[in-house]
Amino acid sequence: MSLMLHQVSKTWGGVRALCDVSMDISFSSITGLIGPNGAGKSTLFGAICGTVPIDQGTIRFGTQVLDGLDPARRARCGLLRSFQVPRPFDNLTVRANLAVAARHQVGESLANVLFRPAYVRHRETEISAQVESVIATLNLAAVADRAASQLSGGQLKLLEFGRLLMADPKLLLLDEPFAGVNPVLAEQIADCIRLLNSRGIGFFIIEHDLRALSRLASTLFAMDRGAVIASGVPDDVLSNQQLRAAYVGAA
Amino acid sequence: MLSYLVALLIIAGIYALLTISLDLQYGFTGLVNFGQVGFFAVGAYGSALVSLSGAPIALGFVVAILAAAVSALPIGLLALRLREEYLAIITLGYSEAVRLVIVNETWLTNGSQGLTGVPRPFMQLGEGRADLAYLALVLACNLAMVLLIRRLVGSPFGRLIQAVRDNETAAIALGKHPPAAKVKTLTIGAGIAGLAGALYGHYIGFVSPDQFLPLVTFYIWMAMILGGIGSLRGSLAGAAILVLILEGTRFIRDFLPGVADVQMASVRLALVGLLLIGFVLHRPQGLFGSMARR
Repeated sequence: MSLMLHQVSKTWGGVRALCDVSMDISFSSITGLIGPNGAGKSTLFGAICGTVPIDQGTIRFGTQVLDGLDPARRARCGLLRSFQVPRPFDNLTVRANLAVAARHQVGESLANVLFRPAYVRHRETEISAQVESVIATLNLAAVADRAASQLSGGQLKLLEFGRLLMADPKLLLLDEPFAGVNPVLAEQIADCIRLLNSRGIGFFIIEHDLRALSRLASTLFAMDRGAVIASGVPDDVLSNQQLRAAYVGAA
Repeated sequence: MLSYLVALLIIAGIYALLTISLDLQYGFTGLVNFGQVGFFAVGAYGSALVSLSGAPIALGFVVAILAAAVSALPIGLLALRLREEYLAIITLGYSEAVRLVIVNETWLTNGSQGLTGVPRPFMQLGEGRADLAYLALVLACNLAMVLLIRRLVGSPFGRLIQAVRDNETAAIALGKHPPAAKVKTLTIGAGIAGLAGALYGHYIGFVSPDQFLPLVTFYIWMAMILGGIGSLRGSLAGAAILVLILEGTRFIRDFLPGVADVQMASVRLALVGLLLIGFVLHRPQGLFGSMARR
């Protein structure tokens, strides 16, 4: 199973942000996406998640064609993304932040809340078990009952990561997971990514820290000016002349 | 004196219903509803018209709740896909539209003359006891609605609306559908405001468009902010304080000789404004509020 992009193009008022991008990103591996600022990496994430409408091309997620599906529907298929700057639910506790992200929320139906409380309670018990296991995985036990507004920047990164795990993902799109994170926390996040990948979750990661990314990813895609300029195993991609030229701006 | 106190409590109880319903919409869901008085008016007129046509008062109450809730649906469907500022404008426009329809559709509403003789329940008990029975009814409605809102807010549905309030983009990215949740709380809140309208109409015995000016909406906002946004206890306390302020400022006339009656109304409003500013400066989170940054 994989995420497949076929000749995806997007133009922003005359500027070609994405130019015939084709990729195949496996659900079973960790894939990196690199390129200088303005290369179109975040636009590509937006196109995959449905927040940026594309002009041409098709995107398939496993057997599902994503064209025309809104971002929420894509998330429910198991395609989830993180943001560069975490977006917590400030007034909810860490536990509630995680619980709200779980699947099959029978208690979000008013009819169930009012007339089938036992059914709702049963599902909530299952969700809180899942919440506790994510809290343990991410080492968030000490702050589990604090409001998200009281967490540090690093804890918010972990919380956002935990929320994605709650949502039963097949493929996680992470936008700069190591940006602004201290080395200890970066190592913890990298360990989590490896652990979850070994449990069958795929990752597609934008990152400027090329060293951290090449240690993690088995495949890299490099983009410049909206187009894929190199792909393959990290060492080959990183030694690519065109990519080096793109980074120094001499192309 | 006792009957004055009972009257104050009844009015405070009606404002309390309006305030908890706004708190459900704004405090818990983040909906900027500037048209609460519109739902209040639909409830008041709905129940008055039904009971004046000879139907039982209880039926009037049911019609008031349903009519107010149903009138919220189209607003929700139109506005909730837009940014929150637009909801503020649309709801404000809605409440003024309701008032203008009442003024102009004379065949139904008797226009600006208003409807008189709206029947009052419990009158067979005698004047004083009828008031007490009415107060009990108002308090029972408050209790029922507080329990309902607490049930909703404490449920996974409540978790969802609070998540949508705190960060809509993140909620969508997790697969949630915010418009559906918002339409639900807007509608439920409107129904509660409709109930408050019915209680008001049958208590005063008279409904007219002048009672439903946008000022009422802002009184309700004031009560919610005073009490603390996102706290039901706060909303109840805020409504009580609001009525105390509104009534208390009536007596300042005794301390300000030489001010004409017309000027007095403006002095009173200015005083209400000053009290509000002073309070918010001193305690921005309200009496019982705990909300972090928004």
